[in-house]
Amino acid sequence: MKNRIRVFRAERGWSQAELADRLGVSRQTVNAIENQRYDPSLPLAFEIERVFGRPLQEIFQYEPPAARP
Amino acid sequence: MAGRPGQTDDQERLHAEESDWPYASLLIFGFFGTGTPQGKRLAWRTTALMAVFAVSAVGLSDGFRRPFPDVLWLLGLPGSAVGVGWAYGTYLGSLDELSRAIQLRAFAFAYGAAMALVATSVTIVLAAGLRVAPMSLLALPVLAEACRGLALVYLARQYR
Repeated sequence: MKNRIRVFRAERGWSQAELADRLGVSRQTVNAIENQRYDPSLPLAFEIERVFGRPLQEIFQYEPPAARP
Repeated sequence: MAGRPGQTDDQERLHAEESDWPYASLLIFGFFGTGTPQGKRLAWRTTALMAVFAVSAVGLSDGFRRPFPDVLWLLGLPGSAVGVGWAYGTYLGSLDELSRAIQLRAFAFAYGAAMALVATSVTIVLAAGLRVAPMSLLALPVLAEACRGLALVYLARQYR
């Protein structure tokens, strides 16, 4: 799942550690989400929405898996 | 934040965005896990509970049970097992979701590895007709824990 967390974080001048503190998770988790290696749980996704004050659809873009042949 | 000598701005930025997993704090069982307060608590609790288990096992198997009723030793074995389960449950509950996911996957790997180790060991013992001291079975949890440690390092590296 694509996301624009790095962009929104940079707009606010926050480091990964600062964002992690606001979300109540580790910096590793923020890093993994930004690099699209980990999809957050629904509660964490809503927490990210709350922290950035942006709708979920602006932050995350779902990419359906490619159709199998 | 001060950069490292000889680093360019780009290298410095990339380093800041890297995810260095605290492997030492991921590995638990008394030997590691002193990197975080939760890890320290788990290491202390599991070590204490394993001591209770060992004392109960010895108490049931030889003479020093005399001062205490047998039921005490009988309660000590399942009691310590339940306690270890509670300690790990509390520990997992205190982790953030990615750390918890990594730990659970590593537990699953270690469980599978432990089952394979037990099956292999029993097969070898039966096939070769070996006489094995029961205490040597204690090596199995240690091996399983080593497997969990390897799985943790491998899995954590996937999220760097």
